[in-house]
Amino acid sequence: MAEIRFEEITKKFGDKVILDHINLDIEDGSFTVMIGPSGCGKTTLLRIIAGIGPQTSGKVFLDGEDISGLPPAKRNVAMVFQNYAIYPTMTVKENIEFGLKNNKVPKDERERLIGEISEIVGIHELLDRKPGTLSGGQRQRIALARAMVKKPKVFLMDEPLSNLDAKLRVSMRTELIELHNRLKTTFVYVTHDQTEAMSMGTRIILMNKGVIQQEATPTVIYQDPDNLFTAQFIGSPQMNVLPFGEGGVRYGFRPEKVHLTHEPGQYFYTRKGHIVTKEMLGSETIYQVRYEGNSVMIKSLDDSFDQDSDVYVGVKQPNILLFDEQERRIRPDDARYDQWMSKL
Amino acid sequence: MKPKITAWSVVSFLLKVILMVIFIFPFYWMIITGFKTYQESIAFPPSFWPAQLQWENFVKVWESGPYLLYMFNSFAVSIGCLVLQFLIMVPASYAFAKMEFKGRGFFFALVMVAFMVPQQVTFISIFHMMSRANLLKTLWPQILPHAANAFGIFLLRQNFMQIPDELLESARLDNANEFQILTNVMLPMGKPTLVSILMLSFITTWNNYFWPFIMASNQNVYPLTLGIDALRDVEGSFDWHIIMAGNVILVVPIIIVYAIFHKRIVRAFAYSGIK
Amino acid sequence: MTTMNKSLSRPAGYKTPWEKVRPYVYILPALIFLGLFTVYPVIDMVVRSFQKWNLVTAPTWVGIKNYDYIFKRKEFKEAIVHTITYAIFVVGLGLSISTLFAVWLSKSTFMNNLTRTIMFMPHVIALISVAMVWAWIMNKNNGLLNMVLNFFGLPSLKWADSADTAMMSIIIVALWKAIGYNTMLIYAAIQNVPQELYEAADLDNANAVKKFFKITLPMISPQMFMLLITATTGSFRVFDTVRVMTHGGPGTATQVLVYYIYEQAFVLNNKVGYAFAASVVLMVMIGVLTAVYFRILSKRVHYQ
Repeated sequence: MAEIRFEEITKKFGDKVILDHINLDIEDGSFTVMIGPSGCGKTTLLRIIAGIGPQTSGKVFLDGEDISGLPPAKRNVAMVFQNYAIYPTMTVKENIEFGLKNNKVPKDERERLIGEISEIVGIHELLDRKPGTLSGGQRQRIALARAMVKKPKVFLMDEPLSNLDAKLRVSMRTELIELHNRLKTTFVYVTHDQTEAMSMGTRIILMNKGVIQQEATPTVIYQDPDNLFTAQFIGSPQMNVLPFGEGGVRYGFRPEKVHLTHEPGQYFYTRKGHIVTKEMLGSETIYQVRYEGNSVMIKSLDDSFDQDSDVYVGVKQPNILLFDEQERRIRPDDARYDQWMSKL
Repeated sequence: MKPKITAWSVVSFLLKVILMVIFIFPFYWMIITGFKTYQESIAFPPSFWPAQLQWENFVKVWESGPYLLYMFNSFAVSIGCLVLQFLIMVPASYAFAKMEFKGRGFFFALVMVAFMVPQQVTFISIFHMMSRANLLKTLWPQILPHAANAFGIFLLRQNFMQIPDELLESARLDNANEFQILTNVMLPMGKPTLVSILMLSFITTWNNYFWPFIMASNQNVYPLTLGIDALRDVEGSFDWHIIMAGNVILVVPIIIVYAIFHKRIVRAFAYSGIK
Repeated sequence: MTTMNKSLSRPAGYKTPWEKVRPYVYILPALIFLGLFTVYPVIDMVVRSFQKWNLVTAPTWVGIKNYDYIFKRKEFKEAIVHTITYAIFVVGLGLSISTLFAVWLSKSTFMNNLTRTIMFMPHVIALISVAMVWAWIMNKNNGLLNMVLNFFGLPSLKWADSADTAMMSIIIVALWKAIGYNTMLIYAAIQNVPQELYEAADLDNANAVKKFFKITLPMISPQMFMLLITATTGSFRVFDTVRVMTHGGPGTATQVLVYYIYEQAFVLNNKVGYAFAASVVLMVMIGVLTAVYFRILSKRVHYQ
């Protein structure tokens, strides 16, 4: 059992508001990913859970207990830092053992735990090495082992894969998912990489400017965004958003939901446009198409369209999302929905 | 490809040899003079190797004053300064580098101002203070005023600041208290800098002449430097072979240490000079 | 569980009293010692520079009379002139020669490393021993240096025993001690100049002199500046060599500031006020230079 609850959490650095009255529940056993542009407050929120950067006001609960004023070591959480924070003057084993020793865990128990964990993480042969001689991937594993050995209620991870090369990042992603499935502990994971968020998270918390924009499963975040920010932050290339030309209401559709045709097709939304640029990415092709003074990105599996030629752009109705003047989503159950849709 | 032997490379090599002779010869001259008889030491033409090694020169030096005591004083003062400096410098540097508190900037500025004040301007006041405290017949006037090493605090703070905060946060999550963070994380990482600072401190104190010259009021608290200085007054006239023998006692240990640890020592001095 | 509940009741960001005072406790020993042996003596010095005092009887206020007195007497002005002359030669000559050596020995070969290491050695040796061995070598009757001069048919010099050559003798000793140290620091600075710059200069067909003035010197100028300031303030504090080789003489030929202060305070017993006034002057000279040094040092460290 380890659910985390934030109540009215606010964090200020001087006059600057980093987190603005955050209320949030993180479910027990979830792999919760906090994502957002840099400076959105995601790392600050993570550090508040750990107790290493206390909030200005508000309360944090772990399993219903108020841990707001508790020192970091008493919270039963473990953290993997962005730069791993491996003590450079200690051997790998001493690094893993440090917390256990401080918690007065008996020696044979320590040995057993270290043996068990280093087997799982695959660093058995590294135990006597000094960190200076290790690769990024190996350091990453040691940081993980050091967190795991404490058997914490919550794992906190602050962009743990950002210092690895692209290939290693992909394989570590899989390993972390497996690790979560095996431990069934709550993971709170901070990243700015949406691929990581989408592929690993069971829940995603999308933040911007100290405010939570949406909290949902990856599928919901992608298919049913609450607002324009969420819609545009997730997805690459980002969602095309076009104005109606009146009232500040906008509509949007994702580049991969567009059908390109030489002749006008039977779609809810059809426009004739001109291909300005074409980028071949291998399996798919990105076209930039211009019409009615707008420029949209289109991702297609069909690379047969030529640059500087005319095409028809077609989108089905369910794939068109509406946003009001406050950038909030207008869903189909909203009274305004049909009125705006009919204008297309 | 063999390196080409040009005229310049030969000249350059010879110049380097001459340069080395210029810097090493005075020490050689000191040592061999210390082994000569009085007659030989002033003979013309000079001899570059003693006809017979005069070990009794050193016996004479040893008997002219309580040299064992001088040596003890030098060690006691050097080690005393070193220990006090360590104890004062480490917590102060840690607080200045890693703790938030009101007045931090002001207090650190104070330390830096203190560094700007040379002891050549404070010695009269300190002498007077020590005389009022009735400490002039002890070693304390030579130790206490050097106990806070302002430049050491500056260097160690610089070093501590480079240690990422992540490491300290990680240690706190690992249930380490502030003292454990200091001994298990900060000190091991600051060790090279700390060793440099303390080595520098030891050599500086060992070699110091001005300060004990002002503060040491009688022979019982003389360090070696003053003991050697006193040789010049023995018997009125200057017996250079005896004076040089005395200097050999002061200098040779340092030369030997330098020969072994020159890399470290050079780095320590260079670090404090430029960094 | 009770302790747990106790800490649970703490509001967020709360610090225990111990946590609040801890930083002050950590810096307290340093502050006490610096206060006692640096701040207090400086205040004491400034205050007493306005008093007439002989270290024993009660002091009396005399206003700026001490300053007035020392600045009117030629000994003090001479001491300042001697100190500055000494600094100009030791720093000016010292840094130029050292730069030359550092560039000449800048390649890391066995011979160069050995030369630099041996040149550095005088720096770790007690200045008093250095002064004594040179006093012996420069001895007017039996010194080796005069024997060498005579061997080449040149007349003997009286070195430290003549008012004409005493300052020069002291400067020579100071240079001999400092050059290795300066060379090592300049060498270290040169090592940090990116090699590509020289390679680019080679492609631009620059000769060695051009490379030195257009690349090496500008690139090491920050370190050179530091060295300039530390060497200058160091020169202002000269005492040991003067004490051992000349006692400020012959006459007043090598009377420097620190030696002047020492004599006013400890040899001529009732002139402590003059000594303090002279100390204030010395401190201002050193303080100004060091302030400049630290401004630049902190900037450099910051932007590294």
